[in-house]
Amino acid sequence: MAHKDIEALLPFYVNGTLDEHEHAEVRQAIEQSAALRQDVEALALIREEMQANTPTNEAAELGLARLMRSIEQESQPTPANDTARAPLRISPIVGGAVAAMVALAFYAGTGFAPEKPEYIQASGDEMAATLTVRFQPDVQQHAVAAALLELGLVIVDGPSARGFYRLKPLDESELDTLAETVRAQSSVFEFVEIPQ
Amino acid sequence: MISKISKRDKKAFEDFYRAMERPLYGFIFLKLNDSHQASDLLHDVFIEVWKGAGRFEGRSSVKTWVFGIAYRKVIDVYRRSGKVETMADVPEMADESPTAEETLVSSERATHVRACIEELKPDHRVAIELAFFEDFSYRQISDVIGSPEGTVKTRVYHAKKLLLRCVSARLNSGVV
Repeated sequence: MAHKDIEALLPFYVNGTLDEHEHAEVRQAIEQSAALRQDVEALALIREEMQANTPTNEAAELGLARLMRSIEQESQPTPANDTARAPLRISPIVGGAVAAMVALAFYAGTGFAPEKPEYIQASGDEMAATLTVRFQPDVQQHAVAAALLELGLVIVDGPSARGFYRLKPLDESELDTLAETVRAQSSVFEFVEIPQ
Repeated sequence: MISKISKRDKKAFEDFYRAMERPLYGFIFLKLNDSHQASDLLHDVFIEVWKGAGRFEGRSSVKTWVFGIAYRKVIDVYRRSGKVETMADVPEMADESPTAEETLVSSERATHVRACIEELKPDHRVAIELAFFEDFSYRQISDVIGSPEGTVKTRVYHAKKLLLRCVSARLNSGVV
């Protein structure tokens, strides 16, 4: 095997996926070359660093909930007016933890964009009492949950393909004031808008 | 498990998600560097698994099949955003690979490795990430990206050289 071919196989020697014959050839070459041994050591460290820093999905469970909701919807006929999307109304007094669980369970849905709703609510005016938001890309799930609880908001749709969510306030009065309060939490919310 | 999923077994699908979500998300996120976009694309990958499980023929492993779906979706995103580059031939150069000693001694090694991987061309980067993050063989990488094994070896060869050279250069220049 040519030296270049041996070099090309070094990463696979390091990750242990060569077949027996290839492994033996590469090992023999390594034993005869200090440069190859150094490459192997360096590659092993790079692999170790890469595996130690594999990104994790903070919202893995929410992703599963969204997925299961999608396949459930797929198996059901689509109604003209999607009443299943009507927001839950939960009193904050009932319990913050319950509200958070329900809110987070609604991290689901098919795409929507703030400027172009893709479906019509049964009541026809639900958009009027919602906020469209996008969370900061690096915000933690617990920070989102805390903010929603504090502000009395539940997620009723999203994320869209562009990462937008629609939030419904438990108290629908003073939506403008609420939007300002939400905007002030800039560590959590990247974008806040009242749909027209 | 795929056979069960093809028969609309939701429990099997949930188990499959739990087994594959982490490596797939890591693979996608590293390409897109956007958690929202990565989550959306991950969702699309699993939906395709749900819809396409019946078409899985077993010619490759399930893992490479699913990574192949993810890879093609990432390429679609790249195309839409104009990120796809045609892989230019890497000119042959004298071997300036660093010694292991040069590469090893750094407390900021992870930062350097990360930065250097991000500098690789997409083709090189995918090959080396699949080899090192997922411990795929070159045959499996060939299945995932749909390129011949020889092409995979060439890309990994160049990626390895560029990576070692980049890490060495960063260490020597004191870049943090």
